[in-house]
Amino acid sequence: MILASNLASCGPPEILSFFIQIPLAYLISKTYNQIKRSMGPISFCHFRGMKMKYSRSGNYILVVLVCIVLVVVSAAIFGGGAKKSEVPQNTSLAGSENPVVTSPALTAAATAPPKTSAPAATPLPNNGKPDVPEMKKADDDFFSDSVFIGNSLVDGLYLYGGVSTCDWLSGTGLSIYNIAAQKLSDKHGGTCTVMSTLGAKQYGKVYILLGINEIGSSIDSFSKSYGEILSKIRALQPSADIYVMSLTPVSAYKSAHSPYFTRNNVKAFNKALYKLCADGGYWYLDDYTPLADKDGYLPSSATADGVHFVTSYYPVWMDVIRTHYVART
Amino acid sequence: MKKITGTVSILLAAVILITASGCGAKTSPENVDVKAMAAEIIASGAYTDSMSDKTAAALSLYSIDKADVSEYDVYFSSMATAEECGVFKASGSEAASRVLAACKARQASQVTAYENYVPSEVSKINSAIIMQSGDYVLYIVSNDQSAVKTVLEKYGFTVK
Repeated sequence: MILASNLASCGPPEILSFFIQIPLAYLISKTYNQIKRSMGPISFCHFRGMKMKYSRSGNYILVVLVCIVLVVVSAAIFGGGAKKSEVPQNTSLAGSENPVVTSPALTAAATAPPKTSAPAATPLPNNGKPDVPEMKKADDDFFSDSVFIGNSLVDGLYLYGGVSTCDWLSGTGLSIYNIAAQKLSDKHGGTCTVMSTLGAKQYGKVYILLGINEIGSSIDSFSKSYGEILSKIRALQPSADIYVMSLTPVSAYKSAHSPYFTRNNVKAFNKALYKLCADGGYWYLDDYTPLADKDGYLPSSATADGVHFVTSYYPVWMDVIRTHYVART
Repeated sequence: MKKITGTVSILLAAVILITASGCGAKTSPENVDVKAMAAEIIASGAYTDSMSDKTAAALSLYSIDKADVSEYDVYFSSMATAEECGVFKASGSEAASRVLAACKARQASQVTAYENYVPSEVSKINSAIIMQSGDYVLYIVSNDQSAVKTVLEKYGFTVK
């Protein structure tokens, strides 16, 4: 019964090993008997030119050595299968039925993205241009597989944009430099980090808006850090279309009175984002152009502080997003 | 002996009177029109940002259980500032404690969000009116708390 149950619990390599070990054991026994018969009470064997005294008890040593060699050879051949059987079959970090509760950030870092049957991410066209085309206005259902990631502007989009069918990972002060660790409201009564959420759920579309808080930093540093974050997001969301949203315009007043929040800086950062998208295969959603006036500034009527929008302008921004997307294959 | 008894009686009466008057001062506001008060606070001139009534999004942002509140009205800023006005009527005294805790947590997270972003907003957040009075809980961040206090006192709230 025990043998049967052991066999039943074994995989094919273990069963094969079992059936090979039976003849091996028979051969060992046969060899032992032949040696026993052919040797007298005292004999000698030659070993590298040396004469070694061989006694009857040496028979046992020889047999033991042969056994060890056979066992080692057997283990070398079938060791892989035996090793595999030591790991419980249902252990899976990503898909365990009884997942271990751990830090979400750690989970995200350690967990490979779950396998999904979702269609593959839409590749950039052959010309490599990452521009998102203008399309027919999408309804709220379109965003049901979406997540928006970003700073206080995205917080405003959450509050005033008028779409409640998607997930939001936004927070005041969120930047490309703190996005990995910053705790955010998950908008469902809890807190999370961007990466922990992306590691736990698969999306069809990932929208990300960062950059205005980083505008005082160097473009090279910004691009490098943004690229690293996008790679991490791509690894966690292999099937999602990733939309990198351009920096939104600043007002003419702000541009004239701030050393950093200038139209030229915004344009330069957006140029860097465009290149990042073209190189990395991400979609570049230009919301700068539709939200700016003819001179490239945020209309003064649309803002109070020159950067954020008045509440009535967030739905205008949302409409830009609704009308710019790529058709999924 | 009679003198001592008389003195004790007078003292006891004084203690009872003082205690009673103290209780009277601590009376919590009742039947407050939550929406009307929130609207009046917003209209008081205490805010520099454009404020909008986004009550629907509030509970999730504050991490408040819906069962803990029977009425609430919350105004948010355009996100340029940390200004906010949340008026909650809890569904009981224990629920009110939880709502108050959520408001304090909101304050802490806002400080974290703004301290490296718009540091000038942190002083506003730190001087927020966060209080519980009976079943009512308030979380008010504005640019002029004295204007807010005037409205609150009108509705029967005592702000320290």
